[in-house]
Amino acid sequence: MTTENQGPDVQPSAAKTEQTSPESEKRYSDPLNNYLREALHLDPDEFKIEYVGMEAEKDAETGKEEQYEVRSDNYHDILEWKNDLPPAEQAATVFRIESPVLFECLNNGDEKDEIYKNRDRILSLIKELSLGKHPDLYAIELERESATEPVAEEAPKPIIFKPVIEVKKKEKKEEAGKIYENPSEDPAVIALKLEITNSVKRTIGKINPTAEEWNAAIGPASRTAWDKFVSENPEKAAAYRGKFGAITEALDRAEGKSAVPEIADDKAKAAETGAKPTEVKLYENPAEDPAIAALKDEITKATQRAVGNISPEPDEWSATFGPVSRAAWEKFVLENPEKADAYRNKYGVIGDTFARIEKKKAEEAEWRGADLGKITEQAENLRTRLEELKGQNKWPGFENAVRTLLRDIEEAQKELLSPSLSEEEKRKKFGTKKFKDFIDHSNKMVEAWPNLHGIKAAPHGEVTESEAEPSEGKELAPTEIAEVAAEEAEKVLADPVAVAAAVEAAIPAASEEEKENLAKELQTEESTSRFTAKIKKYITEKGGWMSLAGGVVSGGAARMLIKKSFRYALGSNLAVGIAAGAVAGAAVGFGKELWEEKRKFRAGSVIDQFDAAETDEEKALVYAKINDLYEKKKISGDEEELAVVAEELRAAKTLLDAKKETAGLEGKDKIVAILKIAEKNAEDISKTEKKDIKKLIKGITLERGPAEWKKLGGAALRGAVIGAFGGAIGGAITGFISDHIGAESDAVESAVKKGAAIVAEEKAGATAEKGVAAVAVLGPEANGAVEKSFAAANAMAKKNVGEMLGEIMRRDFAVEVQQGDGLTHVARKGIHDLVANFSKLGIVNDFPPEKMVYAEDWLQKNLADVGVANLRPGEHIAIPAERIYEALEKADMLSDKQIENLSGIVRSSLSSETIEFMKNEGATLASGENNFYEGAIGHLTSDEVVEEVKEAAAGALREAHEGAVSATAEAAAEAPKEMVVEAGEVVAKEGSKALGREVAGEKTGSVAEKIALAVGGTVLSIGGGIYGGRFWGMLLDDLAERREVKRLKSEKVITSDEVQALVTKIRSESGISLSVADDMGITALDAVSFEKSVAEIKEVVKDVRGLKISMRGLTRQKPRILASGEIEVDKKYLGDVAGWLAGKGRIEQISERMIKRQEAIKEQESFNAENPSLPQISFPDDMIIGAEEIKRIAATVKKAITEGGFAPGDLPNSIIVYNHFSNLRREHLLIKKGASEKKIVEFIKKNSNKNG
Amino acid sequence: MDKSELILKKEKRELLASLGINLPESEAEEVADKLLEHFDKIIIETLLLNLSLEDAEGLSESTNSDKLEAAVEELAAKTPGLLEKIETALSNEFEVIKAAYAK
Repeated sequence: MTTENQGPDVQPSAAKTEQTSPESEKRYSDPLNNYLREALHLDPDEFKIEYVGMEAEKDAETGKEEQYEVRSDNYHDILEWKNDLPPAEQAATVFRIESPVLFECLNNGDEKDEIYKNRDRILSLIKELSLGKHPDLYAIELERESATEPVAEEAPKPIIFKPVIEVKKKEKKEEAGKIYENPSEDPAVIALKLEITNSVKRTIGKINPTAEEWNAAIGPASRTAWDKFVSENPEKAAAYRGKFGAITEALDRAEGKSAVPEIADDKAKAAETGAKPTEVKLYENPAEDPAIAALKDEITKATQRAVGNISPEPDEWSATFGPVSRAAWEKFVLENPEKADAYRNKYGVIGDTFARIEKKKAEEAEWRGADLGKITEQAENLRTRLEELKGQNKWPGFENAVRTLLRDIEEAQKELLSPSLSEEEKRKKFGTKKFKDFIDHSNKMVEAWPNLHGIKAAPHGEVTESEAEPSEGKELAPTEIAEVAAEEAEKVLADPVAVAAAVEAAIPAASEEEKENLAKELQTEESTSRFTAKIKKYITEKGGWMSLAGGVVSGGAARMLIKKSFRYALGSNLAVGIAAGAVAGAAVGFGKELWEEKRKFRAGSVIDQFDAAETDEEKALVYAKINDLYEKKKISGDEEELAVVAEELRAAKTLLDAKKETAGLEGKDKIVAILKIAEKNAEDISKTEKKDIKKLIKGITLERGPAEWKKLGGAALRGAVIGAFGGAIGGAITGFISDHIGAESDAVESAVKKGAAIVAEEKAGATAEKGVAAVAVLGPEANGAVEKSFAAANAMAKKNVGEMLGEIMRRDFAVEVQQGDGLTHVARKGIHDLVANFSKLGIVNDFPPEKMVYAEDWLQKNLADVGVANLRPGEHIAIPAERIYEALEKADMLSDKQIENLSGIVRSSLSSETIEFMKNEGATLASGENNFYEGAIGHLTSDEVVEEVKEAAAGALREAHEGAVSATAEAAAEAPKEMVVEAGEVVAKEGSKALGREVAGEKTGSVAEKIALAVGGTVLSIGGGIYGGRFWGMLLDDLAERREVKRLKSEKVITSDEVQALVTKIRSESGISLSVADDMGITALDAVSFEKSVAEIKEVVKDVRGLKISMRGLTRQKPRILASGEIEVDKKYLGDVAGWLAGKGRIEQISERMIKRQEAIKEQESFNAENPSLPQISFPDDMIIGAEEIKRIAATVKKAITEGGFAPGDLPNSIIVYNHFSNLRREHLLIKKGASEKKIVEFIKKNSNKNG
Repeated sequence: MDKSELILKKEKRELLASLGINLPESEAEEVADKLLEHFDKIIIETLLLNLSLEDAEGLSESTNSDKLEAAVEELAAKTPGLLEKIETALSNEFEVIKAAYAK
């Protein structure tokens, strides 16, 4: 391991030689200064490092909130400042670190520069410091000095290091205990109010939430904050009682209520009072039962109290809510058996609770009946077997697996044999199914361990030495290899451990029960038969590596290779099985297309450029361009791009150098000289900037000899072949498993239900409580709708590319004869246009020019067959597509030798323009008449796809709607929208994944499928439930307008350090606050490609900032879910933020707007009906206001007219009205509280009149 | 025959032929060995470039032990899509050497 990787070498230095002031000591101990000085031996003062934070202050005079910059030249003080902030602000505070000199060195330094050489470490340190996560070395040093001070001597007066960075703050501290006549003037009260207001803005997206919004999202946490204030400031609280509402209420709460929810207990109360238990009243609809309503309310409150802060993270919320909710419902069921039994089939939560209680009872019965003696014996047997296996295998993976299992079983044994644990405790822990499975699976692993790298033991199914030798002496054809593979596949499916590994890899997120069910299904006879058939097909049809493996080994060795690769891929060792097999296979399958798309570089392109360059100067120019690109890529951080460009540069330089340096050489001398040049260029032009990898490459390729290269090169190639096998098998089995979780299977239904359950969990709170009840009612219908939508979209996506090809192959291609055209020109144009049509359908032309030349030649010789003979300029000739395709088929059959022979002709007789034309780069049609691809796409994907999906889903939704009618009005109106939409999204994601696998598996990837995928996936996202039906037409139209799915060229995952480096760079160049970048930018940047320029990324950061605000408004209390989760999910679309908004955000936005509109219309109608004598109110269609705001505006209008005026406070604090009339959607008028009455009345009258 | 197949099977004559190199018997063997060494290094480099930092660290610790070969083989087997990347790298290098020699 290198020094750079050994963690922070920034411990407090004891090398201080002179006494200095506290300020200079702080700078001396600053971690960044310390690192520069101690690790790099640089003078930190030269870098003038400053830490910058932002603080919000309310101006006492104007009441406006303003941002102040807080600066410090050392980490200690800025950290102290941060620690003084209110807790909610602390968490969100990130420092910016400024040092133009340091960042210049980091960004533009050279290889020899110490800063540049260590930039990874420095950037990592900067990140830690900016987040305040690095230890405060100055404080540590103080503590250490204090601890080591001799006791007998009088301790020196401790230095109090108050932050000196903000004078205002100090003043505030000194006045902390002061009691004000008006509590609203107390800075502590102001600060808490500000904190809560900011939280409101962050959480709800506006500063004037409705009462319902406030209660749902903020109320409880706000009360908790005031409760805390009261308990920490008892004197102040007492003085402010009666003067400040929130404090008075908090005091009342402190005196009157406990923190633990008191759940109504009739029986206990009856016992206390001696009264008879009340008669149990059962309700037809459990949601109407007051006991249920009370319990829901209590759970919500208890959860919010337990979470304890104003804007909890979703995980925190869910984790806190889950146990409280479950425990409360279990208590309810146990204490109200009659009610619970009556409601179990009507009320989902109670039904689930029953199931949970019964499961617990069954588990308890199981462990109570467990034979502890037998379990102890089984554990000992397993331990003995593992001990025997230890050290018998050179392969590190095997040893690790044995050690891990051994450690687990020994830990279990300790407890099993421990006298301090009771028998019941031991039974409870080890008599469970989980432990039994652990023992069973471990035993199976031990028995089935593969014979890898010379293990001496003789496990089940090992490959014998005789099998491993190439005894048969003949090479196996791919079909024979496929037979052997199928035999092995059968054994794999018979091995429960291997199947469990494959299932784990294929559906990691599924529940244990689902995984077990799938594993069982895979092991049936029918599945085994289908699987082996699939493996055979897969192996027979798969390309390059297959012929390599078939050719490399023979007979028994091939058998051995296959068995080894199976065991690597799906064998009994979970770690290796998953890593090298199923996951790798799936990754290869998925990533291959991207890789191929991105990695266009072939040495031929550089050679072509050199060939095209006529003079040495032009060749040098080609080289210079590539070199320039290489230098840029070196600092871009994109390792993949760097490797590609480095390879181009090496090629260019080798060609240039060889021309100069091998002039006059021939034969052996020449090739040896070329190799030397190539080796030197490989040494000089690195394909990586990662130091460890560079060092490793250098260590092996430069410091070792030919014998080692041969050995290691061979090992790498052998491993790669084995990996390819593993990958292929992994790909096959994951594909096979994905077939089993297709639209028709039970697994999809489970996924839907699970999705609804997840949503129910996440939506815990006041709104979600209602939602649970609604989904309990609507569940089956909603699920059915989603499922049917999915099935329809899936069916459309499966329409294969053959149908589109059929559409084109029925056509004749028109070619206009130009002056001077011969038959070859005509043939070339015809071929060009057919291939261009294919290209538009996503079928890539990878024919080399040699094949294209052959196809042209064949076609021109066969044009007479289709009636083409004498050519006249201006004449239009029709060539059947089938005949052109035939020419391409003939060309595809050329042998390597034939292609080699044609190569000379191509290079000597064709211009680069002609070759470009033949390759169809850009795929422009020679004749507009030959545009058949649009028809083919339209035939399958435009209206037809949309209509079919629409019809199927709309039908399903109608059914859902009919089902919903019977639900209670309250539940239907308030709950299902978010619940069902989100459940739909869960399925949509699953559906997209499933469709994606289908597409990847069939290697089609046509435009039609992509569109069907996009339409199918997105349609599904709103596909379930009554609200989906209501807005169906509008959304479908929206979707139909945007059929193209934009993708980034690169989906490379970048490390957080790389992001940090970029963020720092952006910040230093643009001045964007680091806190903004860290808060949201990192998530966004994580999604964008390094291919993008810094300028573009800056735009993304800015947009995301705006996006974040929009999202808060749209999603109320779950901004973080959308901000992190959704952006993560949709990162491939985030290259264009507007496009992203047009996707998920657009749907949310439209739904939200329409819901508000529905509510607003009701209010308008109600107001107008109740006040027939007043002017009737009508608001613009796209006014984004809710029912509460409408109510208040209507009341204000009424008051203004009937009473002749109104108070500014009658109106909501802000009303955003889109300028509907001027059609400038983004312009809006904000009426602030305090605007003059006249202005407001004028505004309302003006708009009411205009609206007629 | 694929480039990697030529290398794995040490098909020296075919290797030279595919590069358009025609040498007397006495020189062919030596030149082919040098080419194979060169291509072995390309293979090793391709593997190393595709390792995670964690795997690279693990391999660094094995560089001076007799486990290096086994470790390389295991890592290569675990690296998704490596064979294809090796094929591409070898193919590119073939083309460059062939073109440089033909000039």
